[in-house]
Amino acid sequence: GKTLCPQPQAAPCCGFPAAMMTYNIDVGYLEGLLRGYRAGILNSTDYANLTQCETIDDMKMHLSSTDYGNFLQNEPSPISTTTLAQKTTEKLVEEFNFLRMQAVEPLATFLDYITYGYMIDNIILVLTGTSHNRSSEELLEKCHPLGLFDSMATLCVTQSTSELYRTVLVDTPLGPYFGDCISLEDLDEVNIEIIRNTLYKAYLEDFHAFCMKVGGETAEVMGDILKLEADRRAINITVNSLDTDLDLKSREKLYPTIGLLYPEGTSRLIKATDLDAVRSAIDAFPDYRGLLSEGYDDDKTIEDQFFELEVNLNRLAFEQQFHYGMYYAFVKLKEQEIRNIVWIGECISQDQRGRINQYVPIF
Amino acid sequence: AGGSLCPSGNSDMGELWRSKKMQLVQLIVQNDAAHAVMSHLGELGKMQMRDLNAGTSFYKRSFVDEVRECDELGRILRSIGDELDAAGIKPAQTRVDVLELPELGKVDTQLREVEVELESLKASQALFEKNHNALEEQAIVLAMGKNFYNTGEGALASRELEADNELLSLSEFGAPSSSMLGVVAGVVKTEFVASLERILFRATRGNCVFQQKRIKKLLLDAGTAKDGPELTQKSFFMVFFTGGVLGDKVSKIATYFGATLYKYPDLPGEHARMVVEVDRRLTESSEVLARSTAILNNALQRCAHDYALWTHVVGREKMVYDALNKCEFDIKRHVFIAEGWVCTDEYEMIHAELQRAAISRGLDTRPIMNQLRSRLTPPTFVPTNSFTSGFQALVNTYGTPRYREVNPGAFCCILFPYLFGIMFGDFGHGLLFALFGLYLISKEKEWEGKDLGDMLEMVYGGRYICFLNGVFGAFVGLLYNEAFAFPMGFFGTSRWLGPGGETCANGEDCELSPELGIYPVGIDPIWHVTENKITFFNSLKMKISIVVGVLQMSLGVFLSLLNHLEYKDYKKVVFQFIPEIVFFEGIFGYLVLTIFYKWATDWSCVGDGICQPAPSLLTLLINMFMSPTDDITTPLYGIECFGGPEDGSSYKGGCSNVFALGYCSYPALKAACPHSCEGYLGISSGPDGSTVGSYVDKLGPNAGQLKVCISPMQSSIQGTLLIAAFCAVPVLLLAIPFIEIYQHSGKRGNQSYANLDDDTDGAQPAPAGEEHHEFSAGDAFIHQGIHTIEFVLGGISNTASYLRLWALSLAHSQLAELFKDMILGSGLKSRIENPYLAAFVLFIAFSMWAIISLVVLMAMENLSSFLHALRLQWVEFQNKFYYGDGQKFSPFTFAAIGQAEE
Repeated sequence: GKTLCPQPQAAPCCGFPAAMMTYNIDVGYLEGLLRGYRAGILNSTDYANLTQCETIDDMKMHLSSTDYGNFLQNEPSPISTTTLAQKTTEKLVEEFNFLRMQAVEPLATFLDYITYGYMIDNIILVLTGTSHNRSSEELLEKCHPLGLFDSMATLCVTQSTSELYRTVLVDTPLGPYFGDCISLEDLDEVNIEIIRNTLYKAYLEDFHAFCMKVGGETAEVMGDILKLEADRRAINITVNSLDTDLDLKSREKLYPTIGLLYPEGTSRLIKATDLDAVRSAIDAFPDYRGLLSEGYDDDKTIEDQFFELEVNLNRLAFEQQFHYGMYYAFVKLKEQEIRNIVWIGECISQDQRGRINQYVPIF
Repeated sequence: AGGSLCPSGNSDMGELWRSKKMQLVQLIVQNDAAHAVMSHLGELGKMQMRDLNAGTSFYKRSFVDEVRECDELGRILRSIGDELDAAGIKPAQTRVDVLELPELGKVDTQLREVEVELESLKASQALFEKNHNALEEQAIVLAMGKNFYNTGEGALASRELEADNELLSLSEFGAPSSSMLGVVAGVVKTEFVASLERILFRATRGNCVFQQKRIKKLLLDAGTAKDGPELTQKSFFMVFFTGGVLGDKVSKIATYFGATLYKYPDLPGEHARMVVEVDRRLTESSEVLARSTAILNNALQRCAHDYALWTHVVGREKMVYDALNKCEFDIKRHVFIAEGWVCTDEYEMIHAELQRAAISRGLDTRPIMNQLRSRLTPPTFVPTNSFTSGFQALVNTYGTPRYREVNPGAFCCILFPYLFGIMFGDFGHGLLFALFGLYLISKEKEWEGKDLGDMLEMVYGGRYICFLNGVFGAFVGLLYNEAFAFPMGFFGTSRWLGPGGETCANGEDCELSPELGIYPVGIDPIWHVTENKITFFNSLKMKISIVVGVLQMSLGVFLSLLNHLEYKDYKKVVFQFIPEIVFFEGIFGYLVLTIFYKWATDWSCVGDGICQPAPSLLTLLINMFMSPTDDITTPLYGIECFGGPEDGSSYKGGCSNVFALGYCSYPALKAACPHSCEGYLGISSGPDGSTVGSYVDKLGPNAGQLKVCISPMQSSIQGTLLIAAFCAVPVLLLAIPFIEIYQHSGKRGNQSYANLDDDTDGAQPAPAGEEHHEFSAGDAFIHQGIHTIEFVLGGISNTASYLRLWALSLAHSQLAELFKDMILGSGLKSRIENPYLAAFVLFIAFSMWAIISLVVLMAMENLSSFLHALRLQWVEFQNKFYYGDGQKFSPFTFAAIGQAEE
């Protein structure tokens, strides 16, 4: 019962029966693959086994009986959680890249859109890292492989926003999203944060528009997913900016113009100056009610609760056919799975067994 | 491959018949002797271990650390193996002496030492390589840079730059250093060149000149490649710019693209000096590199010597600990308890062997071995040898035989090639294929146990199948009298003679010569040139197909009898086997009899012929079902004819009272055949008020000679068979469920076996599958209903399915004939005068014919025949009796080391 209520939207009509008929011509093979990949996502039994492991080497043994196979075979023990994260991510990237290679339009563009989110994260990571004088190799290593692009490293030499745009971003698909940020001057922490949110806002809106253009089931499924993402952004921006000196005007600019909260919710969020105001602003929305309330569930951060909402939506995406949303859902679910595995690994290696069950179950 | 499963090696064909009798044994071993005893068991390789800790997760077991240790060593071995591969050194193929194996601990220390040694050697090697590579790149930069200057490109570039200079704003580039032309030169991966150029252009706002050239030689990429540096395609680039600030920026950006920057001296003198210097160091570095490579290779050579031994020890220890993990550990008595299956025949031998081993290894205690009685289904152990293993593999692909059921593999050895031969019936093709099989068999000594690659491995595994298939193909081809679609004359020419007694040329107007008799083996070659060749062969091959099919399926039904007897399931003997055999033989067995009877009868009017129209067997069978009470007007046997010439002399079989017009009178007919005539002969009034039968035929040219033929005997036999078959169906359908309900209404039936392992995946139902679950009457009815429907409908459709034998055989011979006539024939019949040209044309035609014959007939047709024979074996034959839900006996043996590694 946690599905977001569908908003009436102008999804292009008539695509449906035709899509059904011709869908498999282009995407049938990939969908088969994808559903196979989906079947490889760890289930509750796997997690039950993993949480019982005593060392990460035990985890390796159990994972080798799943779809991950012998991916840790050639790693010298003891295995670190970093290796675990790296290798699991490698697997995801490998699968994603295979899908991307085989995809034809418009799925290919859709898959590209998925990577833009990672690009934004990477850019922000490198910018923040550079401002803290980290070496470029170290930063590049930390970047998510799905969001890598050629001129990535050059980010380190940029000193101002305009230079950042001119030398690096203009070449990437993110160029058009950057329009609003050029006015910013220095690359200090607040500005980087603003750049991140501006980029993300533009990205979400653009992706949303693209999905609406594709229409049909894709519009429906992706509409819900992207709205949740937009709302998460909006709430996070508000909560995180409460104690900063970010003025309300510039905060307003960062809210995505899609999502369930838009426009009523966001207009109330703009005015919020403390946590209670934020809470009352989002309480009107049944899906988000209780996200910020205290004592609701102490163990779960707002982050985790959003993850759960997201996992739920992504899981539902596989219940439908003839749409691209499941590719997005797959990547996100797999990412969640990697977070889960790493979490369990961390709990085991740091001997925090009490918190081991705080992973987000998927299937 | 079969040999490894059956270490005794002396299996004969009789062992294929059923699984050997298996015995569950318990082994109690003292704690300290467990490892030694288990190793010995592994060497014997005759016991399949049961997992007594099923349900305990793997990392909760006793020897998990040791297994992990072995895994770790396995990883080191793999990395050493990779190094050996990379260096092109083959591990020595030393035979591992079982008696002098080093302990795991010793191997462990050795391996870890070797790993450290190799690591450090590799690290220094990599360092030298990197250094060498850098020098090489420097040399290239120097050479290529000079080239740029020399060819004038450099000059041109600087001119352009000067022109651009005027456009620069003074604020940014006004510093005095800007007047100096800066150069950055380096080497970068070719794939990055374009984006590097673009970024540099943007970053310097167009104030630089970028030159690049692809380097022909592949260079090491010292970058972030995971498996160490690898060779990649790189490009040389050179950037000209003005000003020191830009210089920093340019070199920084270039570095971020993974470029390595090298010095490029502007002054010619300095340049020349540097070239000399770099050359000198390059020579030095080459020497160093060569020496370090030699050292590394030396170390690897040493590894290669022991590699096989290490792999064996590690694999062996891992298996031992895995097996020990399956044992139960009794804490109180400090003993290990193992359970497993052994072949009943070998129990004594294993027992004695273990005692002997315990003594020879100086153990204080002897292992105790008990026989256990259990309801577990034993695994199926069918020993095979190199001949039978291929055929048994065909059967196992469908399903491993249930314990103690009749193994279809025993019949597969001959029946499978026979079915194949019927479809692949050509003497020439069959002989070639048999020779191919023979070649594979001759390679047995050379190839056994070697890694041959997927394709060859598969063909080699089926070498005896190939050979027998070929032999049977040739045999049936001999019967068809066809070799490459040519009729053969091994047994003289045709026995059909023309009207003048000459040898029949074209098959027209010929008669079978009574003096010569019939063609002794196979079909008379003349049939291949007659007009009605296809009709003749179709009729023959169709009948052969049905006969072979029905015989094979009957065999299957009888084998089901043997299964019922083996499992002591007597209700199935009476209420399943008997109705089945009655139904099947009543209809299809009868059909086969009629086929032979029709063949054996001379239907002609010459000599001893009975001068009757031959009945169509198809119509016969249809009428048997559709109008069983009608009189049979073209009877096959038991023929009684009535009628006769006007003079009143009776024709065969009665009808003595002949009517004036020559018709046989109805009363006379009725008297002769009271049952079948009454009411069925369309009675009509004759001209003088007499009644005549409508089946009355005119006989001969004389209108007065008339006769009618019927067969009361055939009618009654067919009627009886039909009734029997129809009665058999409800018996088959209903009897067993009712018996089962009766059996279960009192107490639960006595169970025969329980499942082998509750946890093993694909746990199979025990022979008495339905007794395992809660008994449900509905299930029993449905189960038997499905079986009945399957058998009854299957009887018809499976018989029809055997017609594929005819169809494939027809296709094969027609294709062969087509290629012969159209390709080879065109060469033979060419009317070219010039003998050389004609020879050439013939050569071309022959080659094409040979190639097409090989590809289409020998390869493709072969595969399709194989496939269809396999289907007939699996579906039509095996579904009559085969459960195929057994579990293969997989003994714990060290022979599996190496195979498991791959």
